[in-house]
Amino acid sequence: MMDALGHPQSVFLAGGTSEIGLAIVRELMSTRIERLVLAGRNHTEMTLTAASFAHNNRKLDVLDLDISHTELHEICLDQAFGGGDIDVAIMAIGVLGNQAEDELDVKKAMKVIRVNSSDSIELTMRIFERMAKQGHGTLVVLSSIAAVRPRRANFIYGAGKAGLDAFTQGLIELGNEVGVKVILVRPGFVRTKMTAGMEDAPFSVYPHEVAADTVDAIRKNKSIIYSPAQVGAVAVALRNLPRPLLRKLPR
Amino acid sequence: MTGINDAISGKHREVLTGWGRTSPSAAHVVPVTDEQDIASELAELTERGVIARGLGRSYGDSAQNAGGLVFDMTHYNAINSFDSVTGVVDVQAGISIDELITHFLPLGWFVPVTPGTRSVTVGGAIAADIHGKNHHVAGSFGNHVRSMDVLFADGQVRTLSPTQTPDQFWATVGGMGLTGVILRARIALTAVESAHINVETVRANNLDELMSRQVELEETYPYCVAWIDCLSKGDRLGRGVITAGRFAQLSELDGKRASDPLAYEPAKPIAAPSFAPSGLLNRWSVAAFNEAWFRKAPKHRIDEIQSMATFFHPLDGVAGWNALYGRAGFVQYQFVVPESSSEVVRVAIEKLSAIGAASFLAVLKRFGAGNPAPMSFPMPGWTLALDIPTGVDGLAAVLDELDQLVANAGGRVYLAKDARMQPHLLPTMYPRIGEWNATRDAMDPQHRFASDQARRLHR
Repeated sequence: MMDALGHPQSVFLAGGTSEIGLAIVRELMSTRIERLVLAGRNHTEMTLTAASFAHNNRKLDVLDLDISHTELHEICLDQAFGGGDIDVAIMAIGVLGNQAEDELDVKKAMKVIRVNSSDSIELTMRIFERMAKQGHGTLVVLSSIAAVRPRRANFIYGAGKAGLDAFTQGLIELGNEVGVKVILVRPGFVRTKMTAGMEDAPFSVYPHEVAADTVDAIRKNKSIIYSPAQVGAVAVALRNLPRPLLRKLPR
Repeated sequence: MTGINDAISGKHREVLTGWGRTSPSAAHVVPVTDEQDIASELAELTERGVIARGLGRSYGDSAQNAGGLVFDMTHYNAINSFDSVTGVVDVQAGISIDELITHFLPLGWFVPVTPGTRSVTVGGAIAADIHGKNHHVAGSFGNHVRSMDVLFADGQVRTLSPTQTPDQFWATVGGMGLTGVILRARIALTAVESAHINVETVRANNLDELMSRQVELEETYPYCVAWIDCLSKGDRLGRGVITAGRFAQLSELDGKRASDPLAYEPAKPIAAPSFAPSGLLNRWSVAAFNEAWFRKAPKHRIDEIQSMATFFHPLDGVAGWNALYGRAGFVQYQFVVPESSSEVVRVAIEKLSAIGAASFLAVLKRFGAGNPAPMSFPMPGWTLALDIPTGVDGLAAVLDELDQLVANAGGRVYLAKDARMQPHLLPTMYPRIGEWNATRDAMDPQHRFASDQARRLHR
């Protein structure tokens, strides 16, 4: 169970190799955590990562999960939730794609959109259902600033995240009715291996900074956050900026 | 809009929290009006179990049960009978202390133990084995229960008493609802001459003075407690105001009070705004409040006649005051340490003050002897209770540190207030938990009575 000061006893990470996801796990780590579940595609890497969290009798589970194989989602969740209540679930799966290539190839573009949008929404909804059933839980969903204002340079990724973002906004309200706290996190440009080689955008952050902001949201009962907080103001400004001006801005 | 809840469990669910408004969870809430309600629900209980809930004044997660069933006992509140010779009243467990006082004070009887609010049920009072300002002479609530009828996990209702079934009786006192559902209880009321209290007030400039004056006042008065200004530092650390009292005799009343000495009309509470900004209670506003409160108190005053409600239940004057802490809620931290470790009280005040954990409700009291209940909170020594908003930076670490200090000193944390302690400290703080576990396992082998707190603490 989550305690009154926002310290969980069990954590489930969907996207078990996600740098931001793992940073959030690290930020949540305490002697109170009795069970950690990592789910993703790279079993070996996750097994090594899980081992780094070993402590006393802490239970470490590694599960296979491929977001695109939606028919297998339930098998993963049966194991995750079958081993006991999950206090915090982090939905940290997404692909950036390659805008320049993807915009010339419908199939590639749709793959990026499907993973970030419908497949992610499907898994998010399934996790939410489990939490609603157990009557409690905190569900963290990683969106992006790109979901709020798509740009020329990333609109395919942005369109996908926008679907997940809109869905999650509604889920926050639904969660209030069923005792599930949903937290929507919209990072700005995060320096990770996913963005390696790309030029830094203004207000770039490291995963551990997004993690600190996310855990702060859990503990202070916030439901939608930007990380860093300044990109929230940028988002509002961008949303209201006339398109000809937006085009002229650097990335 | 309860569509999803109904769909999830096929039953109506509600989101519940404790009085601190932290850690919400959803459960199927069944209002209990007769025993048939309970029996039929018990028959189709899920693995998430059931817990009885009264007026929701436990601060933490002890009266909620995520994904399971919660019995709302507040409508099961009839007075069955009263023996005006012995003062023993037979009530349904959902009756509140407020209803008992409203009914019996005009007849010259008072509840044997009252906490700082009248809004607690008799069932909750027994399950948490609550205490009041008279603990040093009267003990806790369980001491005044002659017998009670408890619904067991097997669906049978059994009468428990300290003489016939001591193990089960005392496991239920302080058992936080995990041994069964308390349905009815026979409580011994206390005879009083008036509805007024003769009060002595003493202002103390530091913690040592506050403690020693309290010990002196306990000799003369059955009711005694101190309010502490937790934000004062240095040689004024632990300054506060002690109020001690006893029920006034007829000869001490004059005017209107003398003509109708037992008249009792609680003032209609004013409502606190339900959407308070989170920062309303911060270290500056609380410091200002504390300063004013301390200055307002006389250095020493005797023979002041106060109404029962003013003396015992000052917070009942503001309905929904818990909302003042804003959306993130608050925790109440209450511990007791043996008298020989009273320095833990000073350390606690220092550590909390250092992180700016403003508490405008800090209460210090010396307990008398405990009772035979293995999980009862009170034990001889000093108990400190503080309200702290959850948003204070560094709070979790300081409270963990204090838990450890309290446990090392042979003290304990109060489960009716707890919302965050770690499971591994429970056996240190409650060394008789093994006894309690054995009795509970016999009464409820499958642990069908369950709460979020029980889950968090692996009980």
